[in-house]
Amino acid sequence: MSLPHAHSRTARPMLGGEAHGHASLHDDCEGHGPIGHLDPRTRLVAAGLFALMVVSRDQIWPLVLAVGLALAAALLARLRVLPTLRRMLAMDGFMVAAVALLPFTVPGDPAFSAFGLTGSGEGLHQAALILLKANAVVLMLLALVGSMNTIALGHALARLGLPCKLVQLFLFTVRYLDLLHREYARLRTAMKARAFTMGTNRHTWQSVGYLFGMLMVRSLERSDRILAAMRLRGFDGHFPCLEEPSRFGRPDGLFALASAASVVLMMSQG
Amino acid sequence: MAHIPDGILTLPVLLAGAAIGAGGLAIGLKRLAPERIPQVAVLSGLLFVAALVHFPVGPSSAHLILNGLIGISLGWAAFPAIFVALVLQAVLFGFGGLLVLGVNLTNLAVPAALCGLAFNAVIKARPAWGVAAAGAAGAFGVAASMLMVALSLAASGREFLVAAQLVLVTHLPVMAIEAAFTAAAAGLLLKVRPGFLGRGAVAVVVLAATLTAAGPALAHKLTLFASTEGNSVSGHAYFSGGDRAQGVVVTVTDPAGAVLHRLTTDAQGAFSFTASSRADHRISVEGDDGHAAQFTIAATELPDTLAPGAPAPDLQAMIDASLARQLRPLREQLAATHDKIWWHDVVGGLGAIIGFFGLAYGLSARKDKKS
Amino acid sequence: MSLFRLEGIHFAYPSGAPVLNGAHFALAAGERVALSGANGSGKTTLFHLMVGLLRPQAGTIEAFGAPRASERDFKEVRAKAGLLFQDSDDQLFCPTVIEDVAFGPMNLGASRAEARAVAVRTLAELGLTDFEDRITHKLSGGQKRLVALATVLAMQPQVLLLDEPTNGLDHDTRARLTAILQGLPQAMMIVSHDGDFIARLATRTVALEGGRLASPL
Repeated sequence: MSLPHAHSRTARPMLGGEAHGHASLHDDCEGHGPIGHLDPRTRLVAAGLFALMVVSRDQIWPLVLAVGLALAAALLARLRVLPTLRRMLAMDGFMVAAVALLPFTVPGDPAFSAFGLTGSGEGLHQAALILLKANAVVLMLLALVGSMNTIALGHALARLGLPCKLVQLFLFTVRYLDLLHREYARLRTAMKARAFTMGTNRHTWQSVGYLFGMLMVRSLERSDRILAAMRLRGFDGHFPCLEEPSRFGRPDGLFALASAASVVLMMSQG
Repeated sequence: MAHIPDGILTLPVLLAGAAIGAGGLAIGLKRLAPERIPQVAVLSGLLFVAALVHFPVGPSSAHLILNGLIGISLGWAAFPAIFVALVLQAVLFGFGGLLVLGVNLTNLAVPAALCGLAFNAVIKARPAWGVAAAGAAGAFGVAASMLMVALSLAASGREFLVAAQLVLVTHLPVMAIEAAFTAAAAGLLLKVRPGFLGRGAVAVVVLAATLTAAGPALAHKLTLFASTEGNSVSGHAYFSGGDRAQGVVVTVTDPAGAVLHRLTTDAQGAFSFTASSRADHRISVEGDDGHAAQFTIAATELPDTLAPGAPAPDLQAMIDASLARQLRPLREQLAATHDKIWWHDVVGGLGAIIGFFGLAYGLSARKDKKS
Repeated sequence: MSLFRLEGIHFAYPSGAPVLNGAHFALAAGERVALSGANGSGKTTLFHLMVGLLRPQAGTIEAFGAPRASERDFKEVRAKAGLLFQDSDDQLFCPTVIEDVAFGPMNLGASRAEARAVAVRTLAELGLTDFEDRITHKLSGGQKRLVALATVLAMQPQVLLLDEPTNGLDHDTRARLTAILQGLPQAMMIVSHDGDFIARLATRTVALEGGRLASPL
């Protein structure tokens, strides 16, 4: 599988880079591929319905189909292969354990044995279901929503009825992310220059605690300055909720139709 | 980490998580003055950045969870702060999932808000204990979150019990890390920006007091079960945690409210009586401290040889009744173990964990001071 | 014997044009080399390469008598070459001055008590005797610069890499810093646009131009 037109979203940010080489956490990545032309709300709602659909299915084939659909969406969104794979594999360690343990904890007909334990076919089946579900949802989420500019996502959330304050909080957070991450990287670099290495000891934990405490103090001061600047521009304690014109158009209609068709297809496989 | 992916939890667990998460979010937003949005956003961003920090733990590594620190800094606003970080992590990194957002939020933010409440109360009463309290909050945040993750898993199926236990055990070192980390960060904040931590302490004390008052009430919840065998009805009353309720008054009434029987439970908390009519029997018990519990034996569970009260049952009703009779002991046992897991394990486990880490932290802090 | 020897160093940031393009350089004990060059010519980058915070795409770095390539090699280098950052706020992150100065020695394996003793001594040598319990974040710009220097000196380095040390300092603090540095035995590399400061301190000057280092004749 090759996904052409590598878009600009970076992999997990490298820590310890400096200003020039710094990889941004959330570059603008809108407008790539057919998915990029859809209204953010359409994408959000579709992702939500898809997740609901997937989670409520309990047979292998509809779920395989769902993973296929998610892959198709990823192709259409022009996601880069390697970073996407890495994200999908980055399931938490203990979740991997939870799934890996299933064959041994679900009672049923013995299907295989390992380490002197007998695994059940039913357990294997359930583990497969969970892996398919989790990956289908994550892939679809990355394809439809992850490929969206985070600011656009904020506005879409507002238009879908999320409280204004929550959306403002979201937008402010997005704005601070890069600043925070850069400041974190600079401090970490300076610590490294003083021969600091991470270890399993109190000195490490305390030092990183100080690092985050300092990061917090500086960021809070920055937020004070931002608030002061906002006051200077007439902020009176109320955020106007941003209104963006709807971009719902023919592609969105088509996409909605296609989504509905896929859902029906998935249902009929059960 | 506390990110459960989609596809593991069952619908009731997802719904419960979403409901609690939405409630907390609503409270958090309501109490969040617009001027504080930039501040909360900073912490939300920090939460996101912290998830990128890996601490080595022997050959493996662990993430920071940071909900203790967020909790003591923000109190209720931890809900919106954590929500935003979770959304960004899901969307940008594929951590967690979409429908589990509510559960993941609840698992992280409820302990955070509790940390905020407790920490503010402590810092108001004993400002000198701030750093130690922050350390305890760091450990508690992780412990409570992981306990809730474990409960979410266990509630989704027995087959996840082993994994749930694994979650708890593997996070013991993270608790130690997070305790030291949070104590250091809070120590710095208390020194450099005094007044930032521990605001709004008054309202919080009231809430904390309410919570502590509610604690014992819940801990002694009375539960009642009864089953039928022919026309004799027997059952027992017990407290949450499994202790039988001895010498408690049991009242049996008919649907109209007329008292049919008045009994007392024996040493095993058991009671029995013989039904004389085929009608609904409402059984209620009342403990000394005002706790009460009720249970209804439906008319259909009683044999139709008993004359009055109800119209002749159809076949369906008879099948239902027989099923109900057979299922009853099972249901009873399930409810008993469920209650047992909840209170014993949650309260006891947390207590032990906090005590252990508080002690460890206190000792190490003292050692530092000496040297 | 040279403390540092750089041969044919090439380096470019992922996003841009090459910063260093075959740079050669050597630093001997007792030297104080001024590094000049336009803004963005790669002076800070060169420092970061020397202590292994960045790795060159080509070329060799020899430090303290051994070739250095891996992270493990550079850990030793960082203990012996102290880097003073342009912005002291990047360097100071502990609540109190004493903790910040003791941080480096502790990374080198000193116990809490030893690190503390070293920190107290270093602060005293810089005339910062009463600063131990001051809150770093609330120091003035000049005080922060001196404390940052103390954090570096507490690690007892053999080489000092100073990135714009007089930047933003008032006249008195600048004079004080100059006097302190003149009294130190370490070899130094100094990036500065402050001509007077360089004239008082440097034993020679090297210019960074077009990605290469040249000694003006």
